[in-house]
Amino acid sequence: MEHPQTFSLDVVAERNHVSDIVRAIISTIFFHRFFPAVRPKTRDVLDLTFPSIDDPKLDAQIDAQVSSLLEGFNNGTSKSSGRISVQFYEKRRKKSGWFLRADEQVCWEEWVLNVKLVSARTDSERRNLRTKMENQLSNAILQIITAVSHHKDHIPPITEMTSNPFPFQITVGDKVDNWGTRMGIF
Amino acid sequence: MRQANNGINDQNGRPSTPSRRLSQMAENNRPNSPGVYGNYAQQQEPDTQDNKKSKLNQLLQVRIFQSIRAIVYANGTQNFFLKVAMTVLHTRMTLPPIIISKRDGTGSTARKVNKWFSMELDETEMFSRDLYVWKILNAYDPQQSPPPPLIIETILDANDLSPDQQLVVVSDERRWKVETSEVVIERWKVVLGPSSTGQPFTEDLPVVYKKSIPVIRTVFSYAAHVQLHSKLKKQLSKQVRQKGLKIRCRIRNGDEMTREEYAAVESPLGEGQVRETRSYSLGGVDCAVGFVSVDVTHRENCEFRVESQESLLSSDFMNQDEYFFQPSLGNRNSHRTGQLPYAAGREPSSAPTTAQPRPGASVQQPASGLPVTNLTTGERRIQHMRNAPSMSGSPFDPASSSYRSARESNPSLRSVDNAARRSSVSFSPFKTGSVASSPGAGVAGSRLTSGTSIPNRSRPSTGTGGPIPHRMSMPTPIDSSHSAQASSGSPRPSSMRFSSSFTNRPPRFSGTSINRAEEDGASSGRGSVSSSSNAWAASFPDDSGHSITEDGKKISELMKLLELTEKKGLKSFEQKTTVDPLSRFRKLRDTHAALSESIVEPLHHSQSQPQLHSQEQQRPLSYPSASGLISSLSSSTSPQLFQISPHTPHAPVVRSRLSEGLSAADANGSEGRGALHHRPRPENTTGPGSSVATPLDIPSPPRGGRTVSSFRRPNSFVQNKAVVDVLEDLDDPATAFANAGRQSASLGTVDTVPVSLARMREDHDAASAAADRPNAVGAGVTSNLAATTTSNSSASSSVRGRFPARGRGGWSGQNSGSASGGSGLRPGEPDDDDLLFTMSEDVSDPNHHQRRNNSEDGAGKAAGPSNLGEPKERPALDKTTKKRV
Repeated sequence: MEHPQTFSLDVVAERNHVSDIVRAIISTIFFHRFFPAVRPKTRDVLDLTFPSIDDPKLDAQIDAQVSSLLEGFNNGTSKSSGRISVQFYEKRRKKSGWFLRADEQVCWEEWVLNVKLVSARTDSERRNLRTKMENQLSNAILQIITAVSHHKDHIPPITEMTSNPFPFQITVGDKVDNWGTRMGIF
Repeated sequence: MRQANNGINDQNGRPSTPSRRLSQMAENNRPNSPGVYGNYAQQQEPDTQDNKKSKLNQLLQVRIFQSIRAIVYANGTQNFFLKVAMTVLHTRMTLPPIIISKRDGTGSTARKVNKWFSMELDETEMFSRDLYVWKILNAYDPQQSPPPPLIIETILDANDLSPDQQLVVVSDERRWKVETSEVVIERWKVVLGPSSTGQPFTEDLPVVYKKSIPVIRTVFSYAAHVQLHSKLKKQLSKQVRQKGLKIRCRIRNGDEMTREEYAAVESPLGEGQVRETRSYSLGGVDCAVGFVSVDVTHRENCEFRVESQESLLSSDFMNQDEYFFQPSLGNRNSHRTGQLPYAAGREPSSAPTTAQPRPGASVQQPASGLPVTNLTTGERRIQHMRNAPSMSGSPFDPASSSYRSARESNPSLRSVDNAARRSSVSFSPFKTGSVASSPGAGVAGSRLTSGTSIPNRSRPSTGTGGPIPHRMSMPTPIDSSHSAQASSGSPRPSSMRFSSSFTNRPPRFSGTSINRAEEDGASSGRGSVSSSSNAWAASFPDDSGHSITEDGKKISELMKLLELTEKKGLKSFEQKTTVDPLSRFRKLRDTHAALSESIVEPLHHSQSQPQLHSQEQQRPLSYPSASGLISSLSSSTSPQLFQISPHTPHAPVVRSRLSEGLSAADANGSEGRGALHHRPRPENTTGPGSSVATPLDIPSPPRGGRTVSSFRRPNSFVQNKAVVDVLEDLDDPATAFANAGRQSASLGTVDTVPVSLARMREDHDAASAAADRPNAVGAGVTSNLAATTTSNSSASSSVRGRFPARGRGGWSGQNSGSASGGSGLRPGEPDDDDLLFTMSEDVSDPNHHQRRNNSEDGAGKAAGPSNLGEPKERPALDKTTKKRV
């Protein structure tokens, strides 16, 4: 089994901003990995601008998983960190026996986002935290850009351009637990 | 390949028309490649046609296949260039779309969309001309003639700012004036380089295309995310609309850009500003024709603001203060005798200096020309200030230059070049106006003189002459007292001051001096001179006759005023003087000596440190001592005094001339004076405490003093050569101004000065020197005057008194008279000097003598300007004295 290319990102976020930050990062990842023709657009978070795809479906899927992540924070009061990851798969035609010709999905890239929840008690802390969040978000976006621009060889061949050639999966938690969250189809 | 091609075509919605492109391709390939067609032609001739045809067909097929691929690659490359440009442009600007009518027959319209590389962007024709080179990329054989680098620059356009607005960039909590009207904020570059693998066609088209998508995406995301885009856009969103700032892009052909143009994004915006740029490589794609890569370099600091010139002015002054005061100020302060002068010096000096740091740019601006047009009144003021300081403040300039970069010096130079002569005129009104405007002008003049003199003094004083300078200051105070009385009436009091000083001495002669003063305004100067020395009177009359012509009227007026004042003051002095100077001196000795000593000591201390208070205090105290000195001098004229006097005299002389210059400027507003006056103005304006300065007015020679001050620094730095020349020129102040030769001489001196400055500076030497030189040239006149004044002053301690007289009479005389005339004047001076020296020595206690001697020695030996100047000056002085004798 091939090991997918994995990129890891770390961000700290205040509870009020965790949703926006996580969404911004994941949207940025998809912006670079969603190969069908897209009309780019930008969004602003924390005085930063990040790219996104004008695709409501994708946004809905991202929002759903981000909400799942936040629920984890809310449920476990003591839980101050979480992980959300995105996997991209390629569809390979599985060599099989006589009858069955099944498509095999192989993960070729994984993005792991470690989110640490922090809170500020004073205004000064809040300001500092905001600055820190901006810096980390900016760094995360630059890391994505750098990774995307310098790691292209592992991208599987694109066999179809009309639809998304690479199924993806957004997962919350430490592991890819099930296939239910896999969004491989468009 | 098919898949790739199909995919591409499908993806882009661009129908593949192999046949059509084939023909194109064939045509394209013909000239560039000796390939099939060349071979075909050759083969056709000999062999059988069948073989030929078969081979030809094979070759053609291969060629066609390759050509198609090449076209596709070239097309891809072309579109890569264009797509990057489009992507950047779309993130930076609002581009007008291309509206096309749909072919569905509904008549509806739609925007023409470019879908290359899976990025949907509206097509636009806005930059179609600029991008034409890359649009016809198909015609190239990329390997033979690669397309030029595509440069996309984002520019902050400040061309529409109103004249009273200035674009500044905030860096390190400081505002830096942005010199250029177009700031290149970022530079994107798309380049087709050699293939990373060294082999073309290494990648299949699908792969190339696949890899191109992320690159284009990163271009967009980086362009969107760059702080510039987010923050700058937000910051300027309001200002851009409200204040005329625009963000726009331009497409440049990388092969047609100069290195400077290419590096524009990396050039600091303000003088001394730290370069803050970041470069980022967005990677590239290996395609058939090479490696297409995208790089971006952008500024990181986008704290641009539009501010009013006025606010900048104030801030400039603040900055100036900071600058000047740090290095040069300390020296200056120490040297400066009075607070007022100090303060005065500050403003003028500060103005130039401050202007220079940031202003440096502004200063440059005039040179560049852009700023000039843009300069608001405030800026112009600043420039004037700068120029004036540079001109008048030339003394400061050296110091400043030494501390500052060549630019600063340049400004001074420029000021000299541009302003010096122009500005001298323009400034003259300024300074004169300021001087004339306020009675304080006299004060200002005094300040100026003091400030200006300070440099010279400071240098000498720094060495050892410290005490002497004090004494010098002392005489000034005396004058000031007199002048103060006279000054009450008018700025001219300066002349009065001089006269007063003279009156004090002359009392013996006073009758003559006063009479003379009364007789002719010009004579007043003479009278003062004469008063200082009996013998002088004779010389003075001549001088007065010559010099007075210009100032005569004004001077006469002043004289009248002075007369009134002088009579009062003179009476008091006369009474003192009437008694045998020696007797007085003796009587005064104790008190004055004590006072003088006390004063001197503080002065010495003060010299080292800002002694404004001490000086002021000293001045009054000095009065007695000065008077005593004068009396003693008058009583006993000794050559020694010359040496000693040089120190003190320098300052006084300068002052006197300055005062004269001021008065003259007021009356005549002479150009040369004007230049000097320029400085004075600020000073005048600055120092309300001019009353104290009145003593400075004594320096009425202030013209010289001003000039001296400006020159002094150079002199001090450069040395006295210039001073000597100046002294010679001083004889004819007018001539100095008027005579190009003298100017040139002065220039030469100036040059020397700059050289010294240059030495002091390491890097900026050449530029600064050049700049200084121009300044020096501009200031040259003033410097000459100052130098002359200094020389005169150096020649005689009494010079102060003389100078006033000289300044008017002497100057005129000098002017009228050539060098010989100057000598003629000087003869009288030596006497005064002698008198003064003797006076000072006699009056002063042994301690004083020692001090003076020390000071002399120190000055002479010390690197102080006086010392430097002394060797030459002294000889000159000696000569003059000899002649005179």
